[in-house]
Amino acid sequence: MTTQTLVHSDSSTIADVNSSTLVVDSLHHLGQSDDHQFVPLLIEVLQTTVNPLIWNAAAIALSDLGDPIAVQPILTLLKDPKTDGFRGTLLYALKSFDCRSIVLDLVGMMAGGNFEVSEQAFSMVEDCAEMLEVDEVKQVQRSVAEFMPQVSEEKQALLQDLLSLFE
Amino acid sequence: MVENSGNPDGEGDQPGDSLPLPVKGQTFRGGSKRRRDNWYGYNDSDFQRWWHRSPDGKRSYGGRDIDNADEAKQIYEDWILKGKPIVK
Repeated sequence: MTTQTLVHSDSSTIADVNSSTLVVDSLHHLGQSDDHQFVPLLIEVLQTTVNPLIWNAAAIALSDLGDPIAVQPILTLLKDPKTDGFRGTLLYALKSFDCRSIVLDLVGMMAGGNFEVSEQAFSMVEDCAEMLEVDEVKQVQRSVAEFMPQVSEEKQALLQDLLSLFE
Repeated sequence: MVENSGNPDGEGDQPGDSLPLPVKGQTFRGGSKRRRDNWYGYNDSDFQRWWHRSPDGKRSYGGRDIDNADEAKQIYEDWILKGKPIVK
């Protein structure tokens, strides 16, 4: 499979599920191949596609291969406005990596993300909470305190639950 | 995404400074009962795996995220009705 083959499939629209099925299935197979030579190809697909089904599949494949070089490209795509409403699986894909280095990004996603993104981000902070150093926890607490006045009551409750992890 | 100034090096009178410090390795991981009741599968790794990987999961919704708790509940119940399929 070539990059051109995968990227060419981006001509499908977001809603055109059928035309991307083959590419999505192929990407999942690459992830299960345990062959790290596919990592650059998967990152290129991730960075060039405009189809959420394809970037989700590429991110899951990168997650399965477990190469930490994938963290930054996935994080960059998570912050790209084009992924608004389609970020939950990108975030889920990061779950298999050490997320301590992005814990403040996760707090921001809890505060600003939709339901799925917020819940996923909470789950990931919860998973790494025990591994955070005292200084890192203080940064999280400060970040939460800054977000609190900016967010809805529902999000405030979520952030309060986050703080309760450290009590 | 809500912006945050960060301030990783901040010391002194900063927001959050008055909050209790954790003891590493002794943090509480259960979350509140309210949270557990409202997760609708988000604390179930089999459900998460199905949602993100199965053709019947998110893919069948065009890749769009779950927007609210009601939608999450509906999708979680759908997964239960299907017999809680487990994706390898």
